[in-house]
Amino acid sequence: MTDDDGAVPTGILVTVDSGRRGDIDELADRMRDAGMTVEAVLGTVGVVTGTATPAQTAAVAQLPGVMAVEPDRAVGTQHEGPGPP
Amino acid sequence: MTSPQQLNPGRPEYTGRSILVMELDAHPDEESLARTVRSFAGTSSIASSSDFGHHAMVMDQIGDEDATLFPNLGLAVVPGGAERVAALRNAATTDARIRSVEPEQVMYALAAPADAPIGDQQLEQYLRGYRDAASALLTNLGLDGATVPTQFAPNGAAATASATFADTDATTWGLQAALVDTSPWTGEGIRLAVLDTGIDLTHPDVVGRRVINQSFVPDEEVQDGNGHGTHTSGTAAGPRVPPSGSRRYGVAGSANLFVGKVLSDAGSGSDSQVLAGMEWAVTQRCQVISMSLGSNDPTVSSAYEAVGQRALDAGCLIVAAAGNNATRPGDPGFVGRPANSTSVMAVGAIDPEMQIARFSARTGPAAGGQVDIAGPGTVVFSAWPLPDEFKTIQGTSMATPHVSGIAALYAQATGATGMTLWGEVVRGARQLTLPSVDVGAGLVQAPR
Repeated sequence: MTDDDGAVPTGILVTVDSGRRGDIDELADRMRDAGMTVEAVLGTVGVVTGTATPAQTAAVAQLPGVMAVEPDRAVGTQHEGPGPP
Repeated sequence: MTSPQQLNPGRPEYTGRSILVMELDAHPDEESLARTVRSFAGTSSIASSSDFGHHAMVMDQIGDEDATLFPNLGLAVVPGGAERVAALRNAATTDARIRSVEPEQVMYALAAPADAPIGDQQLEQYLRGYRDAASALLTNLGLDGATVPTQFAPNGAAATASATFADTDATTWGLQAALVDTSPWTGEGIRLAVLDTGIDLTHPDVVGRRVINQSFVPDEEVQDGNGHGTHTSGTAAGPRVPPSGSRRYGVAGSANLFVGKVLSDAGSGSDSQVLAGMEWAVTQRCQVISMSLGSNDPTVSSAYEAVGQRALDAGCLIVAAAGNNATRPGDPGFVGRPANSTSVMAVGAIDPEMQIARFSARTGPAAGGQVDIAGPGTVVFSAWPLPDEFKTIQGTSMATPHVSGIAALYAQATGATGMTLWGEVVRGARQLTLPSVDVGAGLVQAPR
């Protein structure tokens, strides 16, 4: 599948329905079919992570068995003070 | 809405609709997104999770002339295909609310299981799930009528009447305040995971200890190049009698320690790394996962919410830092992601005088955005990578492993896991004369 007009892929988190965790490898294949670059398939907790363009993300969001799609965002340590402790 | 069809891949085929990508920063709420879709795409009918309330969605009500809004992604699928994209793009170039317009491609489902065609039922199920996520987002944004509490009982005189703690040669103030120093429980037989910046495996209090470890940070070993992870691991599971000769600073000294490196040596990471670490810890059957990490983002994540619940169902309690975005007394902040999930225990920080720490985030308006419990979180002494060996720092990061370690003690003392263990930890807390929006059930206490 071609990229949509050079749109830049960004990180996404795809949470699958709890009952579909057993089929998560097949669901991940459907996500690949929709253009997503799958980086990790987390079968116990039911999340697939990877990258996709906005159009690919919209396609992944419409797959059956997909509960939610969200951007992969930054997290950090929660010590108090400027910069690394 | 039209069901995607099974077609031959090779070149893109289009559905006759377009995807509008909106700037989330320019849209404070779902209604503003809907307004943009209406004004931009010239459609008055928008299907969105919130339209369906608590009723099942009727697929027939969504026609090809309707737009479908995905508010937490800032995406809308609007009528009008490739032929209309050029006109829409032209308009979008002068509109700061719009990032891009793209024709919607037909989705290929080459190897879809025969028993799982993409039908209305599955789509309805998806949209219901989506509706729940969007409801959580709306709640979080305070758009469902929820309000941020603004008035609290005075917390001055009564609270200062409580004991004041200090480090001694034998133990840290935090272990005294949380009754760890007098508890007979050690966490023996309990699997306790710390997801952080790794650990200094050469530290004199770590050498000789079995530490099951894995790095989820590309190109970085579990060896801690930051210090934060060594400190939090030390608090959660440092030895009862430190070989270094230091005072005692660790809670569950005999727990089986699992260290997952999910934050880089710079102290940062991504949700995907954290989730990979959570997968590992749950798969390793850890009863407790300690996460002294987060973001100053009030958005509730569906992923953490679901993973937290699935972990609880699997007998694993996830404990996370409430966040340090408060600047008290003026700004009490809010609980950030992932501690703002209902299925994740959020930990606030108190000081040795039993006052809320200046930086400790307060319960926010989101359904899960509440502080559940508090732990010692200022002037916390614990291990640090050599050559420093020890350091005294502060943060809800430092309060979190006190609670995680004590959860491991409860797991050993009661045999409880998952939601039952959550209940044991919260019931055991000591009430404080501080607002529950700041400290939840109160100060965590070790089992006797």
